[in-house]
Amino acid sequence: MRAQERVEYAKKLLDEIGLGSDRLEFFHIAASEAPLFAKTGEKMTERAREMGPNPLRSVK
Amino acid sequence: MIVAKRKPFNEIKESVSGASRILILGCGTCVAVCLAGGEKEVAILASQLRMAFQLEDQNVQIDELTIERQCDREFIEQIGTKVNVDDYDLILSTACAAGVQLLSDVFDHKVVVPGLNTTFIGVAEGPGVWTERCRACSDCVLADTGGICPVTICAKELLNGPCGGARNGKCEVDPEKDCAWVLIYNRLEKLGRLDRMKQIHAPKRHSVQEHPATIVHEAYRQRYTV
Amino acid sequence: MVDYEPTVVAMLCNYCAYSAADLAGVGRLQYPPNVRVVFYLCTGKVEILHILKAFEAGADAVFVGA
Ligand code: SF4
Ligand code: SF4
Repeated sequence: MRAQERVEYAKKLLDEIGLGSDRLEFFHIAASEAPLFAKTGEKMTERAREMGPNPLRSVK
Repeated sequence: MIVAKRKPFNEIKESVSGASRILILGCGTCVAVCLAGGEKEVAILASQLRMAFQLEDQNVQIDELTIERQCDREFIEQIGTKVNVDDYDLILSTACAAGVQLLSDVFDHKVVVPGLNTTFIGVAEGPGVWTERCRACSDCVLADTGGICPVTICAKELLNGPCGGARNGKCEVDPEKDCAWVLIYNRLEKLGRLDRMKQIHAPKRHSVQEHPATIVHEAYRQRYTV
Repeated sequence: MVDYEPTVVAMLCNYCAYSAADLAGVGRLQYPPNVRVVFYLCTGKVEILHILKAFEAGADAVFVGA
């Protein structure tokens, strides 16, 4: 998957600048997997809550 | 083309530290093709630097510009029509080292730092993969070697190979790599030109390599001689 | 855990995850309102720069779904 490769690379770029690669993730979600999509949305929202706001946001 | 690789981010960040206005200058030719220093890569680097400085509460202005070629004064002169170089403390060039040096010549009052490590002269093998093909030896032997360069590919740079260390077509120095001379033999055999391999090649004329080299085209000689 | 409302950017492929998101809507499945969807015809077009720009603009998390 090209997008997946690129996400992996972008994770590295985020680590380099100190923002942390955990803020970015790739998921396989097939067209029929509505519950999986909802769960993924929840999971990433939870993770964002745990990590706290993007520090770049407070600067703005 | 010239193939280069981006320097580690921290090294780049360190080399631009202290500057408060930075111009990242991309090159639209070789390094754009090898995904190291073209317009897109400049945008990625600029975005990374912006975020990194912001995270440290540093106020650094970072602008982006990509020109056709940095190894040609004609193109460098056009920079002035797009931006005022004097607005910046530092130019971060993502061209090959030749481009970085010509920029330094032209803008001799500016700090110019490289964003890439210039690595080799090579070819694109497929998306995202490049291999070295030439060492710029100034005395090309490809006519006798089936279009395969022993100077670049043979670990011992032999002109009369193979050395006897080849095993199953692989090099004894690095069994992961193909033996250049097995490749050459196979190619010459296919072309019916094995007689080329039977000739003994004289030792390489290293004297034809001048460093730093200059080439003046014969048709232009008069204007450069006093 | 910090008390704030995160912004989560979801970059979704038309043929996979976007359809799933659509289906979630049709099926009245609950998913957090924090998720903002960016539609791609194919996630093959998701560029590294798009991801970085999302973070530069203040996104708290990004996921690519395909
Ligand atoms: S400056 Fe270097 S990378 Fe750019 S076109 Fe010239 S040789 Fe190629
Ligand atoms: S012999 Fe090899 S290194 Fe020398 S010019 Fe030819 S290809 Fe380049």
